Amino acid sequence: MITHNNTQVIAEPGKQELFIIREFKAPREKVFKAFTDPDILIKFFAPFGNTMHFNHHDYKSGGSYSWYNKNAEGKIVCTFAGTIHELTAPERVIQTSEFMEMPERGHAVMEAMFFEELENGRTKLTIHDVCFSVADRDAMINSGMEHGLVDIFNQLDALLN
Amino acid sequence: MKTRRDIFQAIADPTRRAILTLVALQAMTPGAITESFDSARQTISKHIQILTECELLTQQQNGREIYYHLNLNKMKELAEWLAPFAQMWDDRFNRLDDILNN
Repeated sequence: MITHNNTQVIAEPGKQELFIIREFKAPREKVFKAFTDPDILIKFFAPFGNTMHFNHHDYKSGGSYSWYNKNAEGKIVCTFAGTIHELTAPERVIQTSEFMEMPERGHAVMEAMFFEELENGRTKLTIHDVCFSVADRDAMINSGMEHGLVDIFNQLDALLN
Repeated sequence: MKTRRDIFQAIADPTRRAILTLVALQAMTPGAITESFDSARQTISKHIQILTECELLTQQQNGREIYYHLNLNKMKELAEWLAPFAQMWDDRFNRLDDILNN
C-alpha cells in the first residue's frame, strides 16, 4: 500500500487486483458526473501532458466507450476500450477496460468505481480493478512507471536538443 | 527491471509469502521454517533459495546454525514500485479537484 499525497493505492503482492482510493471536496453527483461525462473526462484524465480523445462513448448500463491519448507530437500513445456493465448514478459504475495496443487481445480488466457520500459534502471514490492474471495487474502498475520514464526521457531529449 | 520482476515472481507464490511472514516475526533456521509447513523439506528449501536469490531473505551464521532474516530494504523497493502509478493517479485527481472547485 502506498499513499501519494491524497491518493491511496493498494496492490498486494501476488494478487490480481488493485484499489485506488481518493476523497474529493465535492458532492457525489458532481464527482460521479466527472467520471462519466466525456466532456469533463477529457479535461483531467490524460496523464503526462497527453490529450484524451473519444472514438465513441455511450455512458449508460449496457453502453460502451473507446478513447485514446495523444502525446504532444500528436502521436497516439494508448487506446482503451470497454463495455459498461452497470451505470447507477451517482453510486457506481462497473465496466471492462482493455489496453488495445497490447500485442494480443484477452487482457481486459474488470473495473468498479464506487462513489461514497461523506460528511460535509465530500465524496470518497474507490476504484477496484480485477485482472485475469497477476502479470496483467503488475503490467498495469508498471505502465505508470514506464510512462513516467518516457516522460523523463522526453524532457532529457528536449534539454539535449 | 529484471530484479524487480524476479521479486514479484518470488512473492507471487503463497508458500513464499508465508515464509516471509514467518521470518518477519523473528529470524529462523531452515529447519524451523520447514517444520512450519506440511510440504517436503526439499520444496521449502527451494522456496528459501529463491527468496535468498531475490535478496528478500538474508542469511546470518550464528554458531553452527544459519538464520534467515527478512530484508526490509528489499521490501521497501516494492512500495517504491507503486509510487509512479500512484503519482499518475494523484496528478489526475488533482486536475479534477480544480475542475470540481470551479
